Amino acid sequence: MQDNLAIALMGFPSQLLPEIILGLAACVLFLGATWKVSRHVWGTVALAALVLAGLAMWSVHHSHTPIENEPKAEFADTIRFSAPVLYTKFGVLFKLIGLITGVLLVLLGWDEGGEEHAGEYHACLLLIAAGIGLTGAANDLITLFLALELISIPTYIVLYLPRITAPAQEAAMKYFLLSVFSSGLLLFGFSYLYGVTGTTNISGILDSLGASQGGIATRAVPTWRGLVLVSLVMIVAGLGFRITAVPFHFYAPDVYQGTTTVSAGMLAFVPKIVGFAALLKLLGFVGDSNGQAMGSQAPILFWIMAAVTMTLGNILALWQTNIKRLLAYSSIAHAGYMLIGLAVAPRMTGTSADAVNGVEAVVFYLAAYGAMTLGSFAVLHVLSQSGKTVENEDDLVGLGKTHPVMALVMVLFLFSLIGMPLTAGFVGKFLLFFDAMSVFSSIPEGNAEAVRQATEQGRLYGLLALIGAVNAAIGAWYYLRLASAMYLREAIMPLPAVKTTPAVFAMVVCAVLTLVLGMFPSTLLSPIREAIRPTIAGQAKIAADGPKVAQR
Amino acid sequence: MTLHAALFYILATVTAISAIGVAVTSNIVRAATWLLFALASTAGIYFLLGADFLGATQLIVYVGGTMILVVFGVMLTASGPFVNMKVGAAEWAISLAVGLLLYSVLAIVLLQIEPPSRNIPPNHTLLPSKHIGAALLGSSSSTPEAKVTGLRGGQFIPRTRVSYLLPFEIISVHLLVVLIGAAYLARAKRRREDVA
Amino acid sequence: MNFFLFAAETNLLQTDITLHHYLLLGAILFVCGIVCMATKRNAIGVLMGVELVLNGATVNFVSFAHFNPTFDIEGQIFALFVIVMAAAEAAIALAIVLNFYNNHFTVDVDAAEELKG
Repeated sequence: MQDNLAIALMGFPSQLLPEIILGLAACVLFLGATWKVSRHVWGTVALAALVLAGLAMWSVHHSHTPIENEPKAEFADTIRFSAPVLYTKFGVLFKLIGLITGVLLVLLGWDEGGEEHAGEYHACLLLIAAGIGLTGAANDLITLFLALELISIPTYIVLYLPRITAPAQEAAMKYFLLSVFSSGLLLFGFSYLYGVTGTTNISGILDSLGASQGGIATRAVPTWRGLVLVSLVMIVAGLGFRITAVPFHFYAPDVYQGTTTVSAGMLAFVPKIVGFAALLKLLGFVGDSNGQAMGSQAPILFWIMAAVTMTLGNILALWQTNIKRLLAYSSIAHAGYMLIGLAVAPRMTGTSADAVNGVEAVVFYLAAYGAMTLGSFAVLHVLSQSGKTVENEDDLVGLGKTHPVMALVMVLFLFSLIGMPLTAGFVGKFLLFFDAMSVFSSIPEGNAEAVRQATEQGRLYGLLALIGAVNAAIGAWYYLRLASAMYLREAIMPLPAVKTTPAVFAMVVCAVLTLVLGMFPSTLLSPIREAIRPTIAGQAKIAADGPKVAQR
Repeated sequence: MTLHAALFYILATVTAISAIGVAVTSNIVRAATWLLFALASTAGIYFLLGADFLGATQLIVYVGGTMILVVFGVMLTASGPFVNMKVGAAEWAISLAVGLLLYSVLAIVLLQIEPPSRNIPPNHTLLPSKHIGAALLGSSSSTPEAKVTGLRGGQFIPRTRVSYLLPFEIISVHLLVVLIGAAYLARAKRRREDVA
Repeated sequence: MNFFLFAAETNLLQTDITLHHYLLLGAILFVCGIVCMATKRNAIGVLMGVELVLNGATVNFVSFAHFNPTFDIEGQIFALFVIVMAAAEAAIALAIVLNFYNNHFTVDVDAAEELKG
C-alpha cells in the first residue's frame, strides 16, 4: 500500500506532462526570441510544442488510470484528498480543449503585431493553453488560483504586445484592473472556504461540505452556514467577471473593441471556459454531487444571473454597429444561456441516465461557443489582414458578392450563434432549454406538498426557458442584420482580396468543428457525460455492453 | 489583559486606521504611506499568530519589494494635478454606505461562527519555517494525515503528504512571464502611424 | 446597531483574543480595499485597494490556520503564494501604468474615454 502511494505521488508530475512541455516551450520561446526575430520560426515552434503536448497527452492517457476508474476505493480516496492535481476524465476533457484552443490561437496570432514580439506572443499563448489544462486538473485551491492566474497574466501581455495604440492600452489597463480585482474577491472567498472546511483540497472541501449528500453540511453546525454563503457569493462574483455574467460584464465591450481581433476572440472564450471549469469544480457540479455543495441558494443565484445576463446582453447588442462590440454583447448573452445549465443542474438529479444533465449541456455549449465565436473573430481577422481593418457593420456590406466563401463561412458562424439547426449552437441551445423545460415535466410522485413545490419549481424553470427562447429570438435579429448586410446590400468600397495565411486554417477548423458538433453531437456528448457523471455513465455502459465490460 | 491581547489591540488598531487611511485620503502619495503602515502592521499580526516565516516574508517581499514598486509608480506618474483625486460628496456617501453595509454583513456572519472548541495553548505557534520549506518540496512528514476539522466535525480523512512543489513551479513560471512581460511593456512605444 | 449588540453579547472586548478578532480585522482590510477601489480615480490607487483585499485574505488564511492546528500548513502556504502573486501583479501594474502614462500623461482611469458606447 505504502509503495503504491509513493508511486502514485511520484506520478503527479508525469500526468502533467503536456503542461510541462508547454511551459518549457514557453521558456524556450522567451529566451530564443532574444536572438532571433522571426514570426515563422517561433510560430512553428509553438505549434510543434502543442503537437508534442498532444502526443504526451496521448501517452499519459495510456499509462494513467483516471481516478474514477481506480479499482481500490480507499487508495483513490487517499489520492483524492491529498493531491494538488488529479488525473480525472474532466481534467482530460479540459486539457484537450486547452490544446485545441492553443492551436487555434497560435494560428490566428501568427501574423499578429510586430515581428519582434512574435516569440513572446506565442510563448504567452502556450502558457494560456497550459493554464486551461491545469485548471481542469486542479484539485487544490492553491493550484486552481495559480492556474487561473497563469491565464490572466499572459493575457495582460497578449492584450498589450500586438498593438500599442491608445485604445489598446486603455483596454489592457481596464482589463488588468478588473481582473486583479476579481482575483482578490475570489481569494477572499477562498479564505473563508478554507476556514469553514479546514483544508484547501477541493475534494476535501466538497466532502466536508457534504456535497454528495445534498450539500452544505451545516445542518449540524448552523452557525457556519452564513460564512459558506458569503464565500459562495464572493467566488461566484470573482468568477462571474471571467465568464462575463451581468453585474461584472461592463468591461467586455470596451476591452474587445480596444484590443486586436484575435485578442478579443481569445478573451471571449478562454476566461469563460476556465471560469466555468472552476465553478463546476468548486460548487461540486462534477461527480455524484449536484452543485449545491455551498447551499441550496446557488441555483437561485444562477437563475437570476442567467435571466438578467442573457436579456441585458441581447438587448444592448441590438444597438451596436461595431462588430467587436456586438460580439462582446453576444458573448455576454451566451454566458447567460450557459448559466441556465448551472441553475437547472441541481433539479435534475432524479432524471434518467439517458437525459442530458444541465452541467453536460453547459460543457457542450462551451465547446460549441468556442468554435463559433473564435470562428467569427477569425473571419474578421482574415478579412482585416489584407489592409483595411474590418471593425464596423458597414465594412461587411456586400461581402456575399465580393468574397462569397468568406461570407458563407461567416454566415455559418452567425447561424450557429443564433442556434439554427445543423450547427453546434443549435444543439447547445436545444439541450439547455430542453433541460430547463424538463424540470416541469418530471414532477415526482409523493405527498401533496412535495408535488406542489415541484410544480412551482417547474414553472420557474419553464419561465427561464421561455426567457431564453425570447432572447434567442432577439439575438437572431442582430445576427441576421449582419448576414443581410453581407448579402442584400451592395458594396461601395469592396474589401481587398483575402490572403491565405495560417489564420485561414484556424477559421476552417472552427467551421468544421461547428458543423461536426452540430451534426454529430454525441461524439462530444458521451465523453462529457463520462467526465461529469462517471457513475451514471458507467451504469449506462454496463447496461448497454453487458456485464463483461463491468468486470474489466 | 494579557500581553497577547494588548499587542493584538495595538497592531489591529494601527492596521485598521492605516487601511481606512488608504481608502479615505485623496492624495496618492499619502495613500502609499498609509498602505506601507497597513502592510507592516499586518506583518506584526502574522508574528502574533505565530507565523514567523510569513511575517518575515511579508516584511521583505511585500513591504520591501512590492511597496517599492507601488511607490515608484506613484513617483513616476504623480505629477502636479494628478496627485490629488478629489471625489464628489455624493460618491463618498454612497461608497461609505456600501462599505458600512458590507462590513456589517461580514461582521454579523463572522460573529455567528463559533470558534473551534479546541483550546489553543497561549504560546501556540504555527509550524516552524523549516516545515514550510520541506512541504514546498513535498518531503515534509509534517503535512499530516489529519482530520478535516471543518463542518462535519473532525471526520477522519486519510491523507498523505501534500507536496507543494507543483504550485511552487507554477508560480516560478508566473514570475518569468511577469519579468519578461514587464520589460516589454515598459519599453513598448506607441507606433506613430497608429496614433488616432 | 446589530453589530454592537453582537459585540456585547459575545463579550468581544473582554475575553481573550479569539478567531473573531482576527477575522474582523481581515474584514476591515477587505472592506477598505473595496471602498478604495470604488473611489480612487488613479490606477495605482485602485491597485492599492487590491493589495488591501489580498492582505485581508491573507490575514484570514493565517488566523484560520492558527486556530485550527491540525491543518495549519495549508493556510500558511496559501498566504505565501498570495504574497508572491501580489508582487507579480504589482510589477505588471507598474509596467502597464508607466506605459499608459507615457502616452496619455495621466493615470486617471476616467480620462481614458476613447472606448465608450
